[in-house]
Amino acid sequence: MRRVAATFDVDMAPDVHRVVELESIAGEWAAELKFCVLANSAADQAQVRLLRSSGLTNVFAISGEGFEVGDVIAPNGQATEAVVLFRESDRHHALLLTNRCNSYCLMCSQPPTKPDDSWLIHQALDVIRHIRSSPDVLGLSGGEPLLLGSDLRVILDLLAVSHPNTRVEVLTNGRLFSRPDVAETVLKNLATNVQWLVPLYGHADFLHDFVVQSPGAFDETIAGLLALQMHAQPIQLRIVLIEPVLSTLDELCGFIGRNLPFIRMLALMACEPIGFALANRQQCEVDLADWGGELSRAAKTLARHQIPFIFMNFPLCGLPKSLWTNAHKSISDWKNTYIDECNRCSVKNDCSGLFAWHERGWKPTTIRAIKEPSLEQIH
Amino acid sequence: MSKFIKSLAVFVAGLPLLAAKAQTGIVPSASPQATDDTKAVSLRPLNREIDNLFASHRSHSSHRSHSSHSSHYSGSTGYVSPSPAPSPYVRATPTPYVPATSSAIDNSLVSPEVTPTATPEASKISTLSAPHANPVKPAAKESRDEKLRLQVIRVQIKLNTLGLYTDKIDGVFGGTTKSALKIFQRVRDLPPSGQMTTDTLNALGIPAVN
Repeated sequence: MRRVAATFDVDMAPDVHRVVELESIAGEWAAELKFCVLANSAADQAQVRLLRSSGLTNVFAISGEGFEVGDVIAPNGQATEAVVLFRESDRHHALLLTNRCNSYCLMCSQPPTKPDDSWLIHQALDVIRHIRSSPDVLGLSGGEPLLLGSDLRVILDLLAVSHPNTRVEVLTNGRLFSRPDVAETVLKNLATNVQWLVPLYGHADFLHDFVVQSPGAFDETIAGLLALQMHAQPIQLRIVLIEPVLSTLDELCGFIGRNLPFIRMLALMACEPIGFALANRQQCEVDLADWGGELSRAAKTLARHQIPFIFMNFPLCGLPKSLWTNAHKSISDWKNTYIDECNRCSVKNDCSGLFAWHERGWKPTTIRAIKEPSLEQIH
Repeated sequence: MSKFIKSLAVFVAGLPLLAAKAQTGIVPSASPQATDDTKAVSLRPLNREIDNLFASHRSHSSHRSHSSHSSHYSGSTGYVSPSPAPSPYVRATPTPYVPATSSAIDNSLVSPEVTPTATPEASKISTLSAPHANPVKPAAKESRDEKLRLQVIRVQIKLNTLGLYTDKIDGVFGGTTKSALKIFQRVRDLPPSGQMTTDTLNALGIPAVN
């Protein structure tokens, strides 16, 4: 989440606002929205005050270097900074719906909290209303979004109305879809274009349950996946590659090929070295280059079952070359970084790079520059 | 905060005896998802006559036949989107308003292979990208009066920022708004009618509320 230093012309409530220019406020103004007009000069700030004194109570002046027109922001703390909740120029867009969760995964990048955080639901609805230009893809994440129940449906319905061309991706463990009432409430006659991103960590219940530290989770997730399929919803399965998962990866891929052949895509993801992963380093820290054999075997199994798959968060130097075409530049802009060694690498531009916080944790593999033809030349 | 059970063996030992498993069945595979194409940005004036509900004259149909209006696509009159960046005002053409022959501008900014596929898809959208749409309620069903009020407010905001209007921004189309509009129209060589004509809205850079 981006925090940007900002100065406001009045004391601000921590509500959601859209950043606009003075020239465009006339064309974008609407009574139900709130606006922060970028006004770095005294004259512009005076103009904004004039608008407000003329009756526009939802227009405020903001100054600061780090904003872009179209940003959806919320003033933070003592109103000396603002949180950018949505930025048009980002490659990845996501809204946090809750920080509560019903699993407790060994490598959770965003450890769950218990307090009631339903204000996040209202914030998400506000952000959706304030987005000026529909993104191609919008992620809804958590925590566990299904804990919202019918409120999740409210959000999805608003997206269908406000941004009909946006493809929505919901990150969920799917467990609550094992309850018919939840599945019905969220999925029945759903008009929103949603893809469900669901993690699966084992071909046997105890493996999955161990990774998510929740007995019974496997059965619930499988039931949830079948409920999604029953409602004709597209599913992407996600596997975070930590040690207990890598040890049985080929079997897991075979299980998916045999039992869940309807999934659209399988994402094999390098672990994000943050959150609980730091607490469970022994299980989570792997050098992906050591597991090339397992990855290649799993890829073969998936190909045999015709399950499309991609590698996410994978530096190319940690992946067997035969699998490079399945690698995906997946790390969100604001978390993404490269190290010095990468500058000597011939495939840097095709590479996902590293999470910015790898320094506090670990690198997914020993980073080594590759001096070979670039990916385009291979294709 | 609960603790992790870091050993698989210990975790399994702690599991209660398992209940009967649910039967799982295999459902036939679904078709793969289509990939997103880069969307074309259509070039057209900000507002066409048909968008403008409040032009204050009734001759819409006759207006459409004016020869001057057919030249909008050339960019010689009216408002042309300043950049191909996504913007709420740039909206794919809902009605067949495609010029018979593509102009030079069309070719330079709109890739020819994308244009024909984009049009039928976009034809389903009948409102602006709808940040103004009422939450959850399907499609904004604002009354004509509410739309008029919003449009007047937007015009008043623009006139205010141009220094032509210092009265209350209240959405009421009164004498001061009208005289400010006339001044603007004179400056921009538009007929000084004092009405929110389509050309005036385009010159102001304000999308018509509809």
